[in-house]
Amino acid sequence: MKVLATDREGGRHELSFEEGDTLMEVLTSEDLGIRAECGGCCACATCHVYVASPWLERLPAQSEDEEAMLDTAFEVARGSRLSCQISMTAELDGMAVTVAPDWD
Amino acid sequence: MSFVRNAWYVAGWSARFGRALTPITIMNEDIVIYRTEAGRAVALTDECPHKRLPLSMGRLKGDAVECGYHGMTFGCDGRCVRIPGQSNLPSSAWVRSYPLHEAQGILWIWMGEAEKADPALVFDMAEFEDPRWAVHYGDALQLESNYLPVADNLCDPAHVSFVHPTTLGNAASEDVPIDCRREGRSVITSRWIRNAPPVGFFRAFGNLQGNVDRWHYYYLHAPNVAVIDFGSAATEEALGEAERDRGVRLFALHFLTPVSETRTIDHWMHLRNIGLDDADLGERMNEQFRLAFDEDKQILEAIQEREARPPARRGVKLAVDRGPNYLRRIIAEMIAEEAPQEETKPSVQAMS
Repeated sequence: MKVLATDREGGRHELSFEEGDTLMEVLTSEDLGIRAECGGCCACATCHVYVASPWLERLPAQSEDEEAMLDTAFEVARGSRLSCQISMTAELDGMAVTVAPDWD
Repeated sequence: MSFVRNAWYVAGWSARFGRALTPITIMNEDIVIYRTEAGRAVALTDECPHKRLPLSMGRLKGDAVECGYHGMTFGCDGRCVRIPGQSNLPSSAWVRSYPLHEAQGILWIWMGEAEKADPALVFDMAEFEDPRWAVHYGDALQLESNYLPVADNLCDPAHVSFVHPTTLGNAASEDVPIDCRREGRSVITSRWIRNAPPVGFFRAFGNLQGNVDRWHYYYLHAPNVAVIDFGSAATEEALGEAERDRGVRLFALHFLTPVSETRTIDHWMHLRNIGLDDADLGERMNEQFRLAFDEDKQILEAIQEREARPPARRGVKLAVDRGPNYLRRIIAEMIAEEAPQEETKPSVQAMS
């Protein structure tokens, strides 16, 4: 199963995943510049990505924690999700995501 | 303004207040506290509305306060009862009177709208009245820090391994993950460190020699009350989460009172389930607490100094920040809830 990720420079990456991986784990298996500072416990918003349709609609709704952390992220848009909060399933095979801009 | 007004704050230990006019400052408001002849505590704005002299520089006349400049006199409800040299008492001659509540040797003050001051909201715990527990008061520790980083520290068990290595923590807990959850307006962070050497505090007081199971549960009741439930038991006892009373167990209580944006007073005390008859034990434990809380003070004040300047870069967020994240969110909600009322003038108790 694959995720198609676009990095900040527009580079395309095809990353394989297994059921139960978090999207953040999949995306950090290569260096796409995702910080994922807190390691996946929804405390930092540095694994912010944009998920494309139709996969976006297949994702479970954001938890209150994810919503609150996304409030602290930059350039939040439709499709914004914290990748550490997305558990991968077969239904998400072929999913297209774009890494959100970094900041300093 | 980052203060939550509609909450009970500790004005001081009850013993501090008597027939003297005692000035305190909370959230930049100067307040004078005294007791009536019957012993009831009273809190008024510490400023005469005439020439702004602190009323605490005046004198008590019975249960009323007489300003030390021209003798304007205010009753317990803040209403002016006398202006020497004139017979009319204008409606503008008043000072604010703050709701107070006294329990367990603690004087609480309500800083928000008087009609919302519900004594049922004052912090309480069953162990105060339980004969299996000893209650011992500590200090009023002044910290040159905003109250929020202090509150962060009190939903952050991770720091004890590094800040309090000789008393409340040790290296055994460095990498033990922390559970964290939000319940209403409380943040609960906790962890158990199983089968590890006892920390200094329990070596000193717990009579624990071999390896122990140690727990830390931090309950932060926003915006200002922290209950640190911590203790240890011999590892052989294999204590369950709900059996903490069987171990050596303490509750360290911290009541944070913001004085200004950059100063906070932490009134701390403890309850313990050992040495109930040992008259000195509370004080000996307090010596260790003083050592530990002074370590927090040094860190929080150093950070406050840095906070005076804008950061050069965005700070890194870590897994241990979950508790403080919850806390900041709860406080932001509480402040937002109060925002519409901030425009209006604070209501005066008993002025109608």
